[in-house]
Amino acid sequence: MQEAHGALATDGWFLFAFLVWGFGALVGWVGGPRRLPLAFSHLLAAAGSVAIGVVGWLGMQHGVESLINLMSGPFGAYQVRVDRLSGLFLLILGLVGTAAAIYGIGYTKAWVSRRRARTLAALFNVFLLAMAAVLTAADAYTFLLAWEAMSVSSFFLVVTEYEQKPVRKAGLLYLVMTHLATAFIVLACLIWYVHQPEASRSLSFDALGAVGMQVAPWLRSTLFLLFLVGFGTKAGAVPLHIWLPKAHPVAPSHISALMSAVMVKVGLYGILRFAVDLLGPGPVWWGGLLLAVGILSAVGGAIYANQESDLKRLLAFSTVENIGIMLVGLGVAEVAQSAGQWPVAALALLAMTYHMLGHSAYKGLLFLGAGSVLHGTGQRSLERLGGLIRKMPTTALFFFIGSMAISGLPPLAGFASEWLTMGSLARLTGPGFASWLQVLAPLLIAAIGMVAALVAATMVKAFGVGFLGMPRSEAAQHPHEADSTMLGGMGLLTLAVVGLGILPRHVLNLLWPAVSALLPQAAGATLSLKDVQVIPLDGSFFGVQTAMGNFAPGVLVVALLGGLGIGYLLTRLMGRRTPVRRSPVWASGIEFAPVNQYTAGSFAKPLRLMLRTVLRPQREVKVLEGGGLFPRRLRYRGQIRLWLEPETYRYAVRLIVRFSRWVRGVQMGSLHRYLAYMFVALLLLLLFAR
Amino acid sequence: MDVLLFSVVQVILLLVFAPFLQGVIKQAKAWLQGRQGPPIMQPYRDLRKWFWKETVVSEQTSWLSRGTPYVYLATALLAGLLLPTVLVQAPLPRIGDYIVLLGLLAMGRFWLSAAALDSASHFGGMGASRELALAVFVEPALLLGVLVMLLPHATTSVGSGAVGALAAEGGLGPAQGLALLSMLVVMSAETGRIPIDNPDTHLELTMFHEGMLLEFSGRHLALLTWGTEIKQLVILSLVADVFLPWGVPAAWGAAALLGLSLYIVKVLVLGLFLALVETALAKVRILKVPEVLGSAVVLSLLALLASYVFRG
Repeated sequence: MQEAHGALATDGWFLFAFLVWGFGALVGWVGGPRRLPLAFSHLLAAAGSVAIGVVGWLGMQHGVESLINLMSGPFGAYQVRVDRLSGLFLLILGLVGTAAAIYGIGYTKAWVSRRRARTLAALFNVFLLAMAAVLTAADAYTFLLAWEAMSVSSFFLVVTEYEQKPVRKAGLLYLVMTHLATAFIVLACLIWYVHQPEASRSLSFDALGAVGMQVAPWLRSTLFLLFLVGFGTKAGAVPLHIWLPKAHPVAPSHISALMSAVMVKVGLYGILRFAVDLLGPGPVWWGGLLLAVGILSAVGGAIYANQESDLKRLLAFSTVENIGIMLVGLGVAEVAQSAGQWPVAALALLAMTYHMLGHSAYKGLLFLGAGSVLHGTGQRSLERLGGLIRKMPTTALFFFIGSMAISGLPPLAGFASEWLTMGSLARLTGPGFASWLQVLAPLLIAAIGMVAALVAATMVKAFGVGFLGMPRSEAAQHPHEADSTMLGGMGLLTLAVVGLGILPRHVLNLLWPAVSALLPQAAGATLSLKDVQVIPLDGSFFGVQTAMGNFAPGVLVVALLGGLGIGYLLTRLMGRRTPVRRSPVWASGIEFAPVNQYTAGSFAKPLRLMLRTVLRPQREVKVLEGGGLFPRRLRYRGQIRLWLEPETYRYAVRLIVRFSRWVRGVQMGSLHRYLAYMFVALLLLLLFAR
Repeated sequence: MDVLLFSVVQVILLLVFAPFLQGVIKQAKAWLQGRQGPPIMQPYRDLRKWFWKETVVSEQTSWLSRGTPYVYLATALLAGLLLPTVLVQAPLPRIGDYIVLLGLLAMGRFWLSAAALDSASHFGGMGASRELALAVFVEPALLLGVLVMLLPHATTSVGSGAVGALAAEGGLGPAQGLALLSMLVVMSAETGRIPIDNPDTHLELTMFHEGMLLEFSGRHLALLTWGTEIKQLVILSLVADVFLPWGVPAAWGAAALLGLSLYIVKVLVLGLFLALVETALAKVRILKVPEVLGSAVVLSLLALLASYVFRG
């Protein structure tokens, strides 16, 4: 009775969410670009997100399998199901969706009386709906349909400002790459379908999973690679990430937040569902490949994010970096599973899912903050910002907290997950693992440390150059603070960021059902975190202890406050507390102007020089007016050359075109040739079709 | 209560010993360079002077500059509380392990770099950008050098690592020696000394850490300088705990006095080593800094390989 009641509740919330989103899309489209319908449409989107978050929560608690067979199609029924794994992702969708929708109420006021506002509002709801559909699909056909809906709706959202050429180019690149990815996924699903016994062929996840381990090893590896390429493109793993730094910045800010915080996680969901859950454990090189891709994405994303002056592009590259860290966690899990050490695998999966949750919160927060800056100043480039903390204090505070979180500083969200990731890597040095892994693991830990330092440098630049000091342009001198709904959306995510950091024990308890569902050895048994050796730290509230180390953010916060008190005490004891006097900044005697400050480009210069073999910076200085020793006008252009650009793919495209031209030679139009083909084909058939 | 008392004792030890260490290093440098140099107690006098002077901030600053000195001191003290000094266990090991320690130091660096940009001074930007670029190369070296020593004992906590090292009775084998060499290089980088940075000058060429402190005065400068000295003590204590763990008692009592004096001696010896390096070498160009730190990473990589070759 309890189970049935639980199932009913989940079904109810699920239907409610979909209906509310559908209604929201309708209101947005029909209501037109007027203020009230737009706001109401976004409010409905928020309500739907809250509902889907509840669905996710319930799914994770009860492992509810509410199977809704909608109708019958050519490949079987459309099946929808919420289980523990999808519940986690629905929770993420709910959190960021709610925040982005509330934010959107205020943010879209700028689009009122522009016709595309109705598309924006309607598609926002459709996008959320499509993502929820992807996460709850229980068979490959529904999954692929929902996947396509998600890709297409996000494409239209990305090209909202289609008058600008960069937006169109970015949107087109995104569309092409996401369909390439979908092709890989479709191919893999079809191969899997065909390799089932004739009688019981089905695309449902249950059927695919039942066959998963019985397929030939080489075929399983092929499927793994196909899924990795397909879903890795959506997730933004190097070298398939080239669309991400182009597409995420040009979308409206709350859409960018959704894409960076949720849609890339849907890509990771695909990997977890198809390549880990349904396909089953594999040889150790699967994990090794994930580790390599992960660390490459992490380091590459961090380096390029560090050099960016465009605030949203910086955050987009940072998404690539965080996806890399998550893939490293997944790689450790795969490697541990191949070695039969499932507690280490569980720890690594906990680290990965914790990082997903945390990243969604703080990346969403940072993108919403960037949106507020764009909204308040009209500027996206750090070179034109500065001094915003005075007129936009709340946005600055939220952005600061987000920056600290993404840099992995205790006791916020990012640190706990990076600590766990490093902890799981440290477990790889134990006995029971191959010696190359034992040597590689500390190197990976060191690489993650380097990545964390790069991110800290990046975020100090973003916050310091953007919000502190003096304004570097006219627009930054008169910003206006975000309105209350925008601040509300950001505030919600800030609370999540702080909560996820201070309460690791509770978060781990939350994540454990989803993680234990992914490990086949854990199926059926009631496991506790003790089996994984992540246990509550005795006597300290909210702390966790693993086999190798411990961390108690609650005590840390109290101790930090105590340290602040000691500082205050020292100032009282050792001197007098005179009031602080404000005076003009000392600039070696010259009259200080904002142009004397460090710019974003100059702040990144030491690293640009130190890493010049990787970054390959180029500089062009042209004198336009005057000359000799006192030029009057200069044009300065500096850029770094990315290793992977769409142009790299152009080479592959050219090869394919040349190959197809060569193949076209088969159709020469000569009748004699065609007769010869038919004769040869007949001969071959007679020989081989015995 | 026991823990609280121990923590208070360690905090007082850190606060009192850090300026003394700084004074000894400066005096050693002066003696090696054939000059008289400031007296050993001078850092204490400097701190007291700054606490009494007026505190001035730039007009452009926000709450960040007001809060940073306190946060910096707090993170340095907290990092020190995670390390064993007198006894073989740290006062508050339940806060975290070695990675939490590095995270705390990173927090202090984050706030200080942001505050350097807060004043809108170009020297601040210079110091902050260089310090953060340096951190990119120091962090992996720090992690690798110490983890190579801790991981064979299946722990990431410095206290447990010291206990394990004492129990193993291995002494300084080739792996430990290579890791120690690597950490000696990192020590110079993390304490902001030659050959990475020059702590004595405020010239443009040598502005890593000093550039960030330029716009602070009065009690803010006192807290930041004290925090810097404590961070220096923390790094030296870390090397002493991980590589020279002998003679550290396990419980309070008469042996604790011996432990205290041994700790002071070890840290002072490492400080004298720093003074020797500062006198013997010249500062390297900023572009060459990654090479110096890269050599530290390679040394710890060799230590890692050695620990597998020379095991069992």
